[in-house]
Amino acid sequence: MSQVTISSSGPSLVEGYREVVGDGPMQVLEALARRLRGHRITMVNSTSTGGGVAEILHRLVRLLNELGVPTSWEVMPGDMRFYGITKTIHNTLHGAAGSLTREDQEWFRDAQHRAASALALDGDLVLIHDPQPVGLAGLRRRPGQHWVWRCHIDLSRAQEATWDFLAPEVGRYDAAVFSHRTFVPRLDIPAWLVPPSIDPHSDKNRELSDEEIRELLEPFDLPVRRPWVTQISRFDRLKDPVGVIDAFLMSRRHDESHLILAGGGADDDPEGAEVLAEVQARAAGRRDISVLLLPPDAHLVVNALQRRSTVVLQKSLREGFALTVSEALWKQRAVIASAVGGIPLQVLHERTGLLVRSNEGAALQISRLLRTPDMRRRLGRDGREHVRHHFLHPREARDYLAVFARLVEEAER
Amino acid sequence: MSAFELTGVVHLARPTGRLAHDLDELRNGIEAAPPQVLFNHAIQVVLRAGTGDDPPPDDFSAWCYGVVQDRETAERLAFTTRDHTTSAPELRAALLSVLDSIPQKTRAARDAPEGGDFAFITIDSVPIPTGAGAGDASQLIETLLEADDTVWFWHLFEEPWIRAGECPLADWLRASGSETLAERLEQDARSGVSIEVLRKRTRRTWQRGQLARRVAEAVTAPEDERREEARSVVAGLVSRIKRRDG
Repeated sequence: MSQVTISSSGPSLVEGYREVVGDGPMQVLEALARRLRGHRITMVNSTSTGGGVAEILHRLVRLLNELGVPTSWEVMPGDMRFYGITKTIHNTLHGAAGSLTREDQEWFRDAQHRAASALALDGDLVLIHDPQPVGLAGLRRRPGQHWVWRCHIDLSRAQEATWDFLAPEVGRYDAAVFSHRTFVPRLDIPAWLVPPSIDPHSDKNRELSDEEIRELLEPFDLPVRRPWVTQISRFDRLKDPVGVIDAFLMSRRHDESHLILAGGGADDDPEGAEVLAEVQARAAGRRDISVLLLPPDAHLVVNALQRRSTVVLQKSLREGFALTVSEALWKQRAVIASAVGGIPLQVLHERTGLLVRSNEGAALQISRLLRTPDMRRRLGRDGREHVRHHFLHPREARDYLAVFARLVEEAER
Repeated sequence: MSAFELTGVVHLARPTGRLAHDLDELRNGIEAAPPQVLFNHAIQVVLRAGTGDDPPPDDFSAWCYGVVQDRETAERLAFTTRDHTTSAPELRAALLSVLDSIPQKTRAARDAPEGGDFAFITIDSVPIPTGAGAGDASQLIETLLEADDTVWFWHLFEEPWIRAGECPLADWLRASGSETLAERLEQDARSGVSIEVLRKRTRRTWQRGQLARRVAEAVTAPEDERREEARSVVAGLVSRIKRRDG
């Protein structure tokens, strides 16, 4: 069964989001939805569970239906070989070494044909997510339909051969959507920017009581008296965990605090274990540093760690969009982050957080924030407001509707 | 007089593919930029950072200040941008006059570090009539005060930009007899304040106007009505003070 069924029971998402973002933004979203009455949206991706795209689609599809724009979600069928090929595509688009063989390319094309026969694709507005189902526009497009390709991947370091293989398929769409300007490749169709967003009601972001936080963090035996400086990220060199320790140790010469490095190692990342070992070696013997290896579903623990931290770091050397920053800002944390990727859109320097470019800069700002509770409060408060306006699901839903409204309007002209 | 309908707007940003590595390339990019590119980098920032009393700097001066680290030129660009918000030709000419005052060789020498190029981005606007309309000034302001930031932006920043300074919302208010308020709104929007400040000021101006109206009406009202009115004003004041003090 390729169609994903989303339950409409439980409290209304529209009203839930209205409580969070306010009536004004929801009125605009509702007005946009009214404008698209009579249209149907079909979303397509390659999985209904696991991963950020599936997570947002579960919310978005229900939200759009509640808003009165009938929206269905179809999952592209595939076999193990196809998933192996799409994994190579994903990794090489991210800049990793590797390539597709001619047989891989053939298998990928065959999978597109199989999907084209299996899926209903009955909406007149079709939003295809990521490269796996990219070939569907060329195979199933009907007159009167508008097709948009939503790429959630950072293509700035994509292997040319992989992109050359996909680009002709992308060219068959009416438009493409990317998360950040640096992710956009050369294209002959309009490429709009729609930043990703977080769900304020998810386990990772929902409000937690002091009691819940205490219970969730109890097993880790973390110090309760000293302020926590925390970075939550995969153990990956590009997240610079060793640089975080160095910056912390510099600030520690003058200020009392405790560093927490928490994250998981991705199963598909052989370097993860190596980086974790380096981090553990660097932190060895220090009672003021805790290194926590968390399972991938530890959303509530991540939530509790962020809420209990005094300062949250994201000292990456390179980044995609880095929604972990929005997650921390949403919890009114004082954030110090590198000025890379999508971070400067979230951290407006001295307004919603502090941007740094070096270990010394991070050390300086850690000390500064530890000593100035008023500044932490101000940055935290304004950071949350910034996320409320720009990085929650209703804004992303609004942008997708605006993309379709624009395409429909252009076609009617 | 016909009803006034409030409109919000969604901006879809689109990279133009053009980059500037130094001030000379920034100058040439500004000279060649379509109006919507200038609009995005100079005007739309008001909406992009929708919090706080102080609006963020425009993208040109922010890049010049933070990346190229030419503080003097950044200051001049920031002032120029805030001072020329009503049309693309006027803004372009003002920005170019700042950059042209620097010799070409010097402009080319003031450059960004690797990875710090300025990216010219354009914007496609999707105006969205909200369905919230008003038949008189009082209703309009009450609705506007609760409206989304994009509604304020559309009526007080974007429409005047598209219509070379003309502001249909202010014109409608004038036609309905609220000249002072219309004037105030237009002036505040042009002065470069944030939407949050604009909203607060409008609320204050509006409440003061309402107070004056209520006082004037109360003069001719019977004694018991005046007492009742006074009681409700004091109750409102007490509840506001309580709310403020938590």
